[in-house]
Amino acid sequence: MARIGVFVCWCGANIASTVDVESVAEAASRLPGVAFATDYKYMCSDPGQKAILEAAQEHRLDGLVVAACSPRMHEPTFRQVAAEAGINPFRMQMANIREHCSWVHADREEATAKALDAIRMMVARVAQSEPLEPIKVPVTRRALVIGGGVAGIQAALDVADGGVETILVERTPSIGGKMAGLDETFPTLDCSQCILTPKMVDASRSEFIKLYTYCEVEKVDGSVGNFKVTLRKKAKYVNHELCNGCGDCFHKCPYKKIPSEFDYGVGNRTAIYVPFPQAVPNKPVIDRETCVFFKTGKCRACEKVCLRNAIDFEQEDEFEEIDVGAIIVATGYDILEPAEMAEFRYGAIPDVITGLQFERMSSASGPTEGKIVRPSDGEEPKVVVFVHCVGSRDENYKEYCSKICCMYNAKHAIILKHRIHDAQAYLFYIDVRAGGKGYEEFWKRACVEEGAEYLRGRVSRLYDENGKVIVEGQDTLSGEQVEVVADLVVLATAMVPAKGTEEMARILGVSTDKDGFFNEAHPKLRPVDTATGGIFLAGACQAPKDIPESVAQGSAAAAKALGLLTKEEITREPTVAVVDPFICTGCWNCVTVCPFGAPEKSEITMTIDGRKVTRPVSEINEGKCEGCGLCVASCPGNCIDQRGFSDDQVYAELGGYLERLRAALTHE
Amino acid sequence: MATIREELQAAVRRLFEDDKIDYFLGYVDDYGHTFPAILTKDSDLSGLTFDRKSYNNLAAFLPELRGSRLGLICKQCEVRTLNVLAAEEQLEREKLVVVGVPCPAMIDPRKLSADEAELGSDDPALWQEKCRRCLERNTPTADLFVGEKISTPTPAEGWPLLEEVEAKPAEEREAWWREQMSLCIRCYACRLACPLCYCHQCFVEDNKPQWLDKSVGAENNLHYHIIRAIHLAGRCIECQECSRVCPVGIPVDVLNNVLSRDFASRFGYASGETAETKPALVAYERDDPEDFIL
Repeated sequence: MARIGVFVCWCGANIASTVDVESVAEAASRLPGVAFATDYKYMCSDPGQKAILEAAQEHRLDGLVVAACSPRMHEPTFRQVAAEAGINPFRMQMANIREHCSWVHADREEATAKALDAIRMMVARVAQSEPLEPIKVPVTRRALVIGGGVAGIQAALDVADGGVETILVERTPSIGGKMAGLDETFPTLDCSQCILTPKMVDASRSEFIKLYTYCEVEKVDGSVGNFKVTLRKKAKYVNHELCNGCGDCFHKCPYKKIPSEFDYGVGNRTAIYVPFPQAVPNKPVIDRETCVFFKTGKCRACEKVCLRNAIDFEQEDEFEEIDVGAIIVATGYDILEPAEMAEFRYGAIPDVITGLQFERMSSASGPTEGKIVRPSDGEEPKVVVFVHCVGSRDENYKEYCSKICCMYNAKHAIILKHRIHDAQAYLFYIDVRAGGKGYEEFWKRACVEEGAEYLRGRVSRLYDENGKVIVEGQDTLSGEQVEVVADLVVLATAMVPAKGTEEMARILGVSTDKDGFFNEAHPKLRPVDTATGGIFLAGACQAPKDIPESVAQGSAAAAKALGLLTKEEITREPTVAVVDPFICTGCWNCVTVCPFGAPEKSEITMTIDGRKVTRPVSEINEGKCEGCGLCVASCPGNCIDQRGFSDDQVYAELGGYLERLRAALTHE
Repeated sequence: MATIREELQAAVRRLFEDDKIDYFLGYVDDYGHTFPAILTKDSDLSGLTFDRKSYNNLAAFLPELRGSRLGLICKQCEVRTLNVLAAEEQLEREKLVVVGVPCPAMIDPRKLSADEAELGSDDPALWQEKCRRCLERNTPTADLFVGEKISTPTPAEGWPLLEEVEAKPAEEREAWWREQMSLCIRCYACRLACPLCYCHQCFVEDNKPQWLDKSVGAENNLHYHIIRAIHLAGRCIECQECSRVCPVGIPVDVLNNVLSRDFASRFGYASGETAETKPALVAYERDDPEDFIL
């Protein structure tokens, strides 16, 4: 017979006001297998824990049931107490009589009976519990960073700084992300490229960072400490080993009118191209979709001009499998396609552009070399309207605030004034959100020193007339209708998760929120963790963020990853599935349903009726098993059981639950 | 012209002579009955036959013979079973020689009068129910085919007995099932005859925890049959062997038919339809229709 101790917590008045804890403890002491039961005001407090330790010794307890709050709250605490008392931590169970009982019931009598039910179930369960030891798994000391924007670069640099090999994967031909295309940055107006490109170079030169550009994550298997990742290295059609980045090829490429992705269509690129002059790596790729040779079979101009014979039209996508211990996701953002919001006339009126297009125009290294012009006629605009909250804070599109637009609109107004001194900026805003160091001062500066005209209200109509864009709206402060005859309109479009985020979430097995951004494990206390162990988040893939926040989160994610990767081995919960090989038929249902690749195909040789028989059987890789129970449920022959949740335990627990009903029926 | 019996015997003899197989799984007749038999190269092949009494689903013997090179006669029933077994990785198809036959439809022995010796009857009234629903009477995907191909009559639709049971009011239906289940002696012939009941240890034998009381009684019997039906959900290929072998005549397969019908309507799925059919409850596609799942 087990010697179980039951400890009923009052949780101050949280439990005791609804549940008669004293009578529950008294009744619990009479349950079969229970050697001792008591109650106390705060079981989790130091005196409470001490009481458990003392009782364990005095009554030679071999199992504990703590009737208190949710195990999500204090299971680690009481497991620790069990270990100190010399009881296997997995022979400690919590009966949740707070969240599941006192907090949700008003009737004292019923709640008290239910609390005793919960305790009876857990006593029955503990009596059936095998002692378990945590599983130790060696850690693969390598990190993967997905996305080479500023957050990903920062994360990679910081992990590498800890002396851990890091693989930085970027799907475009160069790292740098959105920030590489920006002009000056708020609130200090330092040039984006000047602060980013050295980091890009650092990343490419670090002995601990392996850069994979033009590469995508295809598949992720395994779990914390030991992921197996398949990368698709897209065909570049240029052998980067041979290429010295001289640029002869793209100067010779006859097809020059392809809208540049990096310039958001403000400038053009060739079919063989480097997205921007400061790209890392500064070596070209051929865009198969637009290359004349791939379309017609003729041209090969780049090949002819290349002195290094680096052009290779035969290249194909390659797959590489890598082992990593931690993954940092920094896949960034895109902007909500403004053409989808017809009222803003983007696409219909050429002089309506997005904020990112304005950035490329005002950037000194951009396609107009820093000259701000009207796309329609190349003239310098004198009146520019900036529209805040295009698709953000708008129930028709995105309910959330995109956070950075207020600041970059102020920045654009200032830059406009700096470049075109007699230009006037008008900004239609809902309200200005400037929480951040130096942010409030910055937008005030745009307003007061740089003469930007802030109009509080939404734009109601946009149309073109005589080469101008007429912007109608309401100034809700004066209560008057306003009409601005603008040369150029700049839309601050909502930030949305980068294209492919949903697919990435599926590949990684992490969840996304209602807006498609990755979910953090806890909004306050675990902002860079995901609910999946070993996968961390950095930057705008988690929510709209500006540069300082993205960098901070990149560093935070790196610290988390290093915390994991500097361990020799990690311990995992021993509540894993286990196969009985003698009855397994090898149907591989478990292999099919397991999201973690834990069941592996194996064989067993046994003697049946005097002859040796070798049978295929499944075997669980404990290092990979997350204890989700899918295989247990899907096994047709009931050959798989889960430690800590064995059939015996669950059956006993149900028996405990039905006991009150059985007693009632017997009395009748 | 050679009879199917002669052709079959010649073909099997050749398989043994050419050392293609270690065992042949077929039917032999004796004492006016047709039995399933496992033959080796030393066996007397003169009893080997295929007729309207070749009832057994021979695939039920496969798990026992796993690993051997094996030839077997396959009716449509066996072909569908093989497809399910293959999908469940219980089969080494490359070690099998599937001998196809034109299936003349099996007689339902319960429909014959005691002295009825004539079994050449083409009267569908005497057929087993499954044969009236048969989609293809000439074995598809056979490695070799013996006999002349025959035409397949238009298959009957629906499950007549199931529909009859369902038409009863709930109380009457429950009473009917209780009556049926009280007959069951838990001999497990249904489980033994079923080609898909291949677990090394059945849940009825588990005793830690013991899922099911081992004593015989309507309640326990019903639990046994329902759990067995659930274990066959999306797998049963409706060979009706469970009902045929039942010594007390319980139409066990009615329970399976309920699930087969659900799988057909909900998943658009017929188990073992083709060699590529994946197990319905394990396979997962991202665009699976889930309109009936809450």
